[in-house]
Amino acid sequence: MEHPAEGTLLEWLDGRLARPEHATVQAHVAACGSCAALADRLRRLAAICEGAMAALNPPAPTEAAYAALLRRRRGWAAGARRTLARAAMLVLVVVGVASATLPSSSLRRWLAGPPATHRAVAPAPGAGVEILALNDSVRIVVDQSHPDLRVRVRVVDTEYVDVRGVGAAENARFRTAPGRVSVTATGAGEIHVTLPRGVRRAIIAVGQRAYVIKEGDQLHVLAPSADTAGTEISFPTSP
Amino acid sequence: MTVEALFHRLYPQLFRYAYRLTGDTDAADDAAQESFVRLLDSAIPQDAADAWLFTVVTNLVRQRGNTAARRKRLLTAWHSTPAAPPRPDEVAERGEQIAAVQAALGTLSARDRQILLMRQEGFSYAEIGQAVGVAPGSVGTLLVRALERFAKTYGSEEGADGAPG
Repeated sequence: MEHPAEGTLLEWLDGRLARPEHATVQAHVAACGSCAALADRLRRLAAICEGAMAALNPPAPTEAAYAALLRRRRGWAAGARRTLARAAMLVLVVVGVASATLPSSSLRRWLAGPPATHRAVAPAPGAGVEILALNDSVRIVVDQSHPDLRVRVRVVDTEYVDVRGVGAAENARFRTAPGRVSVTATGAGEIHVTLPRGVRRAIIAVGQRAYVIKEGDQLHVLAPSADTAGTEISFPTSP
Repeated sequence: MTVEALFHRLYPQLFRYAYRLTGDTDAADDAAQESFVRLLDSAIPQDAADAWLFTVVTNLVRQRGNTAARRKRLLTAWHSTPAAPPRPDEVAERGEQIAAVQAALGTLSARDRQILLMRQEGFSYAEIGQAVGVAPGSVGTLLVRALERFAKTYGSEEGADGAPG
């Protein structure tokens, strides 16, 4: 009869063995006196630890901690907005008042109000998000769970980084932070990424792997099986 | 799940885990909060957040160091001079128990302390193994050794060899 290792007995006692193995060990312990005695000893050791740890269980200040977390995040976002507003002021001085008279100029949009660091596009099928780069850098991470999902990237003269799900990926979920977008897509379809030409550094990654890196005017395509047509790059998220 | 819901679910566990590592409620709060700040800045999917947060808390505690020194200060403060004001009996007894548990944890290696506490938080052996960098098949044996050492130091009825301690 093969006796389970004591580590396996402990795992069985903790209820963390897979069901078939759990049943096997349980049947063995029921039939083997020495393993039953070892299991009893492990049970006592575990109970000693449980009882001791009960003394180290101070009440967690959850509400106060959550409020502190929110204050911390608001302070960070406010700091980022102030930094961007100063940069926009500098642009205004360089371009001059004449630029402000053009109806479609980005400076005129800034004069209308401070830019948000990120905003959600109005809810609609295939909605996405737009953010501003942080310190001229942006990172987009795609977590895909469908092998047919593709990413399409283009670089244009725009102010905002735009990321959206198209087609079967229109229900993709987005999470944003200053200079960062995370996309979780469970369907096929495409994730469209629009990068501003002025962004100094941008990384588009699938999981932990960088597929496209923009450094200045250089665009490094690391994705396998990438298609390049004009100013667009398209690649599958699964090689 | 919203960030708020995730926070309310995990923060108490993280706080308790960090407190058991440090013996310091302020340090535990700092580490637990900081781990969430880092989660919000990361692209970690929610289903991987639990183990990731505990790993971050462990690393934060280790980086801030001084856990042994801090625990020693706590123990030293507890065993204060006769000039200290008298405490109620039940507070004194609880304080002694806390000090005993902290002392027993302090005799374990950092790895053994972490695997013991992660087991207390309900992590699978595979998750524990990944967190400390050992094969999942080794975690059970390491846990048994850690439990034995803890029980022996804690001054339980049974030591590591099963003999009365």
